[in-house]
Amino acid sequence: MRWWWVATSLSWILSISPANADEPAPPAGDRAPTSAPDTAPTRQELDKLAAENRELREELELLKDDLQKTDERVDKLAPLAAKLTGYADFGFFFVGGDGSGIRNDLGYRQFPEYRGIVPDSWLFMGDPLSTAVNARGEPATTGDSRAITFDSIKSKGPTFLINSLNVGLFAEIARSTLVTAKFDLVPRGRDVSDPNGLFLGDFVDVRLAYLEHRISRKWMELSLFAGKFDSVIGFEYRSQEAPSRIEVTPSLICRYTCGYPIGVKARAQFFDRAIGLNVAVTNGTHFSELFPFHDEIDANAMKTGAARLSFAPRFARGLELGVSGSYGAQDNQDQDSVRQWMYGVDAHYHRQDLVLRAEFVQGRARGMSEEDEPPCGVAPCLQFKGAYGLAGYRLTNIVMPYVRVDWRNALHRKGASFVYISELWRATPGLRLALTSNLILKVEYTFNRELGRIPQFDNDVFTSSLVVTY
Amino acid sequence: MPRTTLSIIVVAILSLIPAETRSAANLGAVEGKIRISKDGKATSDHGNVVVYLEGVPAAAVGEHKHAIRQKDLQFAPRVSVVVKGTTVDFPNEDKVFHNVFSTSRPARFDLGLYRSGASKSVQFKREGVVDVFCNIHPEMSSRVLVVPTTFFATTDASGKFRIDGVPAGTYPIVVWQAYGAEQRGQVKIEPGKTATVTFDVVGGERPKEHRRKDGTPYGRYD
Repeated sequence: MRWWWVATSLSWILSISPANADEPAPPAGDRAPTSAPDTAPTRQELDKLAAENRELREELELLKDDLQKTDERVDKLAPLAAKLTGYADFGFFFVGGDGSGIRNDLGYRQFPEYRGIVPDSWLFMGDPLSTAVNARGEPATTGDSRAITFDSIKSKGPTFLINSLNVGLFAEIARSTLVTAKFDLVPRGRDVSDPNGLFLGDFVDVRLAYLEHRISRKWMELSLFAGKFDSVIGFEYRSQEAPSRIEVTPSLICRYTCGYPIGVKARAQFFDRAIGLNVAVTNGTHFSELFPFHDEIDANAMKTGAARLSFAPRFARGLELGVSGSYGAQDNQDQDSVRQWMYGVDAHYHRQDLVLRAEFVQGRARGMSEEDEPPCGVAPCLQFKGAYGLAGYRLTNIVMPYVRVDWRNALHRKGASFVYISELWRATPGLRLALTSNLILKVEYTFNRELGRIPQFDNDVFTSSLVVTY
Repeated sequence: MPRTTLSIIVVAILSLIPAETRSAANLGAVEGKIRISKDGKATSDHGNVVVYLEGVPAAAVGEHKHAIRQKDLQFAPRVSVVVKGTTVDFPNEDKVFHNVFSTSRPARFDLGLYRSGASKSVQFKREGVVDVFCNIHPEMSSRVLVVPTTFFATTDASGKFRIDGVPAGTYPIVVWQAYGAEQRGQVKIEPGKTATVTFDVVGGERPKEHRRKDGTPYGRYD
C-alpha cells in the first residue's frame, strides 16, 4: 500500500510540472518582483553599450566590405591557376631485334608477286609503327622505312627517354568562349657528325590550338570549334595523352583516328548527352602526323568531311556506342580527284572500376597510277582494316592491370618506291599504377606477331612511362 | 525497503522520460501533401521535397552527423537536408581520387584530393543552400539544405509528409525543392491536434553546367 501511495504521489507531482521542467527554476526573487532592481543599468551605461554596439556594427560592415573585395579578387585570380597545365612523361624501353617493326623481303621469298615491280629491299613486311614505345606513338626506330622516314628516336638498344614535356594553355576570353592550346616539347638526340641528320633534335609538336564557343540549351549542348582540334573519329583520341591513357602506347589503329586536324568543328549533345553528333570540315584526314596520310596544310581545294554519331543509352549507364567516318581528297595530293575514305565503329564501357573498349576501322586511299607504270606511282595507295579491344580493371586506388589486343591488315604502296604489307596482331598486357594524384607509373609488354605469309621476327616491346602532371 | 529509497528510485525512473513526452499534451503535428508540377503538368514523383518549420522553440540544434558518400562517380544522396551545425562526412568509396568542394556562400570549402577509403568532414555552420561538387568529375553534384531546426520532413514519392512533436504555436512553414522555387506559408499547431497543409510547387531542373573550384569550365571530354 505504501508503495502505491509513493508512486502515485510522485507521478501526480511530475504530471503537473510545466513542459519546460528540465529548465532550471527561476530565482526566487524573479517570482515576486517588487521594485526595479538596484542592478538595472544606468542611462550612462546604456549609452556606452549603444556606442560600443554602433562601433561593432561599423566594424562588421567594414569587414563585410573587405570580404566582398577579397572574394572579387579571388574570383578574378582563381582562373589563372588553371591556365597552365601539362605533364612530363619519362620512359624506359627495350625493343627486340633491330627495334623496327618491318623487315625487307629480300629475294622476294615471301611475296614473289612483287618481283619486277619494286626492289626487294623496298618491299617491307610488318608495320613500321608496331614498335611504338610511348603515348605519342613514336616507334623505337623506323629502320629502313621509306614511307615513314622521320626517325625521331632511332634507338639502338635499351633506352631512357623523355617522351614529352607537355604544356597546356587555357583561357576563357569571354563567358563560354575558350582558347585551348597544347604542345609537346620533345627532347630528341641529334647526331652532329651526320650532315643529313641535323634536322633531328629537340622539337616542338603543337597538338591543339583552337577557339571554342559553348552554347547550352535545355535540349542540347553545342560546342563550336575553329583551329587545330581533336579528331572526331572513334574513341581512342580522347585518352591518347599520357596521363589519361590507360596503356603506355597507342593501338595499331590510332594512326587513323588520333590526329589533330585543322578546320572547323561542331559538337552537339542531345537529350542529356544520350545522343552526340560531331561534325568537322578539315584540311586533311584525322590520321596522326606520324603516318604519311596526314596533311596539316592542304595541297588541294577539296576538304575532308568527317562525323561521328554516338549513343549513350540510359538503360546501360557507362556505355557509349559510336559510328564515325570521313571522306575527302587524299592528303598530300595536288588533285582533288584522288579521294580517300574511312569508317569505323566503336564501343566504350566504363562503369565503376571496369573499362572495356573496342574499335574497328576500315578505309582506303585510292591513290593514282600511270599506264604501263607500277600501280600507285602518281599517288600512293592505302587500304586498311584494323581493330582493338581493351580491358582494364581498377583493383585498388593505385593498381590497374590491363590488356589490349589489336590487329591490323594493310597494304600501302607507291609505284616502284615501296610496298608495305602489314598483317599482324599484338597482345599488350600491362600495369598502371596511380602512385599519387599526380604521379602515374605504367609498364607494359607487347607481343608482336606477324600473320599470313610474313615470317615472325623479333620485335616485341617492353616499355614504361612515369608521368608527372602539374 | 525504506520509503526514502523508494522515492528516489521512482524519481530517477521518471526523470529518464523526456520532458516532451511528459508535456505531450502541449504538442501537435503538421502533415500534408506537396504536389510538384513541371511545364504545367503534375510529375509522377513528388518525393524529396523538404518541408520545415521556422521559429519553433526548443528546436534543438545540437550535434548532428550526416554522410554524403562518393560512390560510382556520384554523390549519394544527391539532395540532403541537415540541421545547422551538422558535421557532414564525405567518405570516398570509389577507387579513384575525388576533390570535394563548394563555393556556396553558406559553406565554402575545398577538401582537396583524397583516395579511396579516406573521408573528410565539414561542419555546416550557416543556414542556406550548399552545392557540393567534385573538382575532377563534373557529373558529381549534390545539394544540401542547411535548416535552423530539427522540425523538418522530406516528402515520399506521393508527396506526403508529417512532422510530429511540434510545440503548440503558429510558425512559418517552408517548402523547398532542390532545384525549384521555395514556397512559404504559415501553420498553426494546436495541442494534441494535427494541422494539414497542401502546397503546389513548380519543379526545377539541375543545372547542366557548373564550374571547377577555381571558376574555370571543366575539360574537353567532361
